[in-house]
Amino acid sequence: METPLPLTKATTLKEALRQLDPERALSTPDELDAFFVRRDDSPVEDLMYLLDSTPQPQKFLFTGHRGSGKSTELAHLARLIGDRVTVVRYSVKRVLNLFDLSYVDVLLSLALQLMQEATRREVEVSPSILGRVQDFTRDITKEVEIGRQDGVEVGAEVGAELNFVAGKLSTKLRMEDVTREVVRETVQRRISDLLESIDVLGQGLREALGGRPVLAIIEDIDKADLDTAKRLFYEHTASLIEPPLTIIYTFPTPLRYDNTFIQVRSNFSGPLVLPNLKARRRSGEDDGRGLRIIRKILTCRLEDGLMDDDALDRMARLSSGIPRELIRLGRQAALEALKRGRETIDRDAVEHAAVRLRNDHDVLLDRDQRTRLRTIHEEKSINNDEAHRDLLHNLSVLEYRNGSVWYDVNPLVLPLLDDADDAPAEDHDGDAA
Amino acid sequence: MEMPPDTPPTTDTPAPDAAAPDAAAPAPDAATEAGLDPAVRDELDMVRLLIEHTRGVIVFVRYRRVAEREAAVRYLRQRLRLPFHEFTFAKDRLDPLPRLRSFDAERACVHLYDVEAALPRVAGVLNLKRGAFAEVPHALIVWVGDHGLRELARHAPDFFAWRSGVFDARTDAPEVTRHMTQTAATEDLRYTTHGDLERRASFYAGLIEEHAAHDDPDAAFLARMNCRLAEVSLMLRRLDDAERAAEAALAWANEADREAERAHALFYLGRIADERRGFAEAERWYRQALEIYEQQDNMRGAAATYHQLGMVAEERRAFDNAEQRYRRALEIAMRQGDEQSAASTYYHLGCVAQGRQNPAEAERWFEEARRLFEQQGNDQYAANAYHSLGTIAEGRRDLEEAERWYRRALKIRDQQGDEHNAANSYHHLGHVAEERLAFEEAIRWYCRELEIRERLGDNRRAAITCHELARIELLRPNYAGAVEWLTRCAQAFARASEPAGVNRTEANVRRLLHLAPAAERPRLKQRWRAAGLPPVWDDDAPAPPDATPDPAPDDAAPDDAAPDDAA
Repeated sequence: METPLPLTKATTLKEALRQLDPERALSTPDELDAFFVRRDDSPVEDLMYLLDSTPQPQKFLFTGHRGSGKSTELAHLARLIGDRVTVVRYSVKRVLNLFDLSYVDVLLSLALQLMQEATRREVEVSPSILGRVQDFTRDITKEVEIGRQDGVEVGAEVGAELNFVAGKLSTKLRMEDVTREVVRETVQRRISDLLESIDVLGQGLREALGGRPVLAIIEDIDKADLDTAKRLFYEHTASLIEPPLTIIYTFPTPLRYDNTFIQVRSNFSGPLVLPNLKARRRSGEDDGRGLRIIRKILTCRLEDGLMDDDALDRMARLSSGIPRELIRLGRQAALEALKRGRETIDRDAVEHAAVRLRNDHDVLLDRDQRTRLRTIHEEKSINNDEAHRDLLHNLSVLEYRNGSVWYDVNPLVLPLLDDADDAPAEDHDGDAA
Repeated sequence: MEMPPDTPPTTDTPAPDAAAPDAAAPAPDAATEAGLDPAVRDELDMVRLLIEHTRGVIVFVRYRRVAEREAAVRYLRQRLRLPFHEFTFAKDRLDPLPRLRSFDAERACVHLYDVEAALPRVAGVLNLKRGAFAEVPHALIVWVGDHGLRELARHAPDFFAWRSGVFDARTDAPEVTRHMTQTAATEDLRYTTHGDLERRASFYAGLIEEHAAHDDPDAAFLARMNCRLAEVSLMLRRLDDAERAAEAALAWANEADREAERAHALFYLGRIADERRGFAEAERWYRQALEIYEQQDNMRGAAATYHQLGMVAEERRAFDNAEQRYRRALEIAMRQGDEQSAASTYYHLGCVAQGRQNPAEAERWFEEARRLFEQQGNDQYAANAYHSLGTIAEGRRDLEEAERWYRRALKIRDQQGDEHNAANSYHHLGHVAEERLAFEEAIRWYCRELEIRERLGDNRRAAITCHELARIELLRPNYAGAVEWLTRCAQAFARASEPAGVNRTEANVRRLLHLAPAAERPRLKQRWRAAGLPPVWDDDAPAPPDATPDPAPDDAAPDDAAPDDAA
């Protein structure tokens, strides 16, 4: 289990180290209450209206740069609509093996999550629906040694037995290669039964909860490697859009630039892109609104006075507009201040933190990439090729949207381009034991 | 039931070139301070601050030479008030998560080394599992060179994105390298934890690589470092690595024309042959080493070699010869005031007594060894002594006492990350539980053993454990469970290239089918076939007259499956 974030503002630099955790998305209602900063360019509120106004099940792709705040925004969405929609939100990385992911696993995980949700909410499902789901799970589990839970009787509700089977099967799908293969083979032969199970479970939840629609949010598919994600979305689109309930899939940003993306796009609503925050406009002028939001992400976590205004302003400008990178810069600045025996984050600490983060890019970028970055900085656009996609992927280049889409070099990286001629050529020598 | 002596560990042999206990080594703290330049110390203090005030962080620390890394690791180890663990990547060790999840501590600092050695596959593992890394509460320090950092940033971008910082332990100060190299060459080598050994192996390999690349390499130093690498590789049971290092040590010693280093190299070649059960070859190497040690009046080396010769005789069950050699080793060790070596020899005198079916005498020797190991703070060897005392107690069917000893041994082995020997402890605990007819508990212990055997790729032992599990299922009786385990047993024997084991398992399946109720047989056969194994039954054949409920392969009795730990 992840450690919860402290829910109060940091009052000391040591507390700031803990509070500014780049690895943590906001997840619980308390965390959202304490630290969520509304972004007016987030697609989440549009999504909420779409969900409210369209009764038919839809399938959405939700995407954004690594660290752009997708998980936090989806947690916010779940809270916004939680009073009128039954949200089943889960991460595939927790229930499946990202190394070896197929569309069958994704659909089966969805069925298992629906079962567990039904149990968690103590939903009474009609015996006929229950019977159909049980038939299906029994067919799978007789192929797989699930074991027996002492004292569990088959009841007339979606209860202990199904929950037990779902939990065990999830574990086996995640951990055991052999089981995964066996289950996949069985389910592949009966994919229509699986889809029917999803349907009846969705219906069961809907009926039992006063007709509230069900929304599944399936996160972290974008964390699978690109080939796996591509296979999933490009070769099995039909299966992914088949379940008769609304689903949001997170989608890897680099695949949006793939030439065949247009085929996928036509089958889904969206893609809904969570844009990066902007400290400035394409013209180079400050973006006052964007800067305010960026500053707020830090000020809602740190007590007034813990960071001077100059430092805050500098961090906002250096920030790439990606919340995780901003938080990382903040933590590093707190550390630099502590190292220097200060009690607050000042401009000097921010500059040192920026140098350190810049060094990470310095290691990463070869001479050709630096040359390419200079061109991008001048032209504010990229070519749709692998070399440019790599730069997007490593966050040296960022996509922004004010009105139109434009691209620029990460502000932290810009100083590295001044001495591009000194940059290392690509090398592959192993320099450490 | 009398337990046969466990195969002796490689790790309880005193290294012939180990520093004497009273060698004037610099105090650790002073050594550390001297080995770091102030800028690096500042960087490491930031790492310390970050780790102490946060949970579950991932930081990268850059280094250029292994000496820099070694100095920095020692510094952090002294300063950080957290349990300290280590994991070294290799081509076949890509995933540290099982280790991370096994730590008892609520929070620890875990150092990850040699990511470069596991590229490119490790990048995929780290990237895809980064969510799981975030779930462990431990601080992770990934030690990287520029190449490793660049590759992880490019090919494990999600993992890299979760870093809390990249810090720098690189220095241009030549005294750091000199200081750490000197420390490495002189400090006492003993088992601390598995992780520590892996880091040392990587450290020595790095030093060798760096020094061998010099225009005029110091052959004697390279011979010594290769001996150290051989010793550590033996402790890690990496015999091929140990052999390569010992052969290189011999070549460098010959080039430097250094008799002392030549003797050490010969000694290690003997240890390796011994580990491979090439006893005649081992004797030959040891005799050559002994000749040089005695010529040079290196009594510590001579004692260590007599000890090893004793172990060879013990392995051959030539107990009189073994005792004679051990007593000779003991006599020299006592004359030298070397209680550490003496303790190991006491231990093996206990093994000899156990081999002679004299448990009372064995217990006396083991007790003496235990007392000394505990006095010396030598936990790993003490654990071996506890284990052997457990086997003595189990032999006289004092199951309660046996369990107490096994649990004491297990606690240390778990703490040290000594999985191989921990698996042996699990095995014996399983056996004790089985003797008490506590089958569920026995299954739990055996399953924990099996998990480790499989993870370590020890297929033969895994097969034997599956067999134990099958036997328990049959006692309950649970035929489906038994056939499931026998299936895994056959598969593991096949992976271990042991056709005899496969044949015996097939025979056991046939017996099981005759014992099982007729109605259950089709399902049992189906389970066996579903694993891709060929039918081993003839439906028309009559039941074999000797059908018994015990499907044990001939060599799979618990005694045989016992530690080779354990000392």
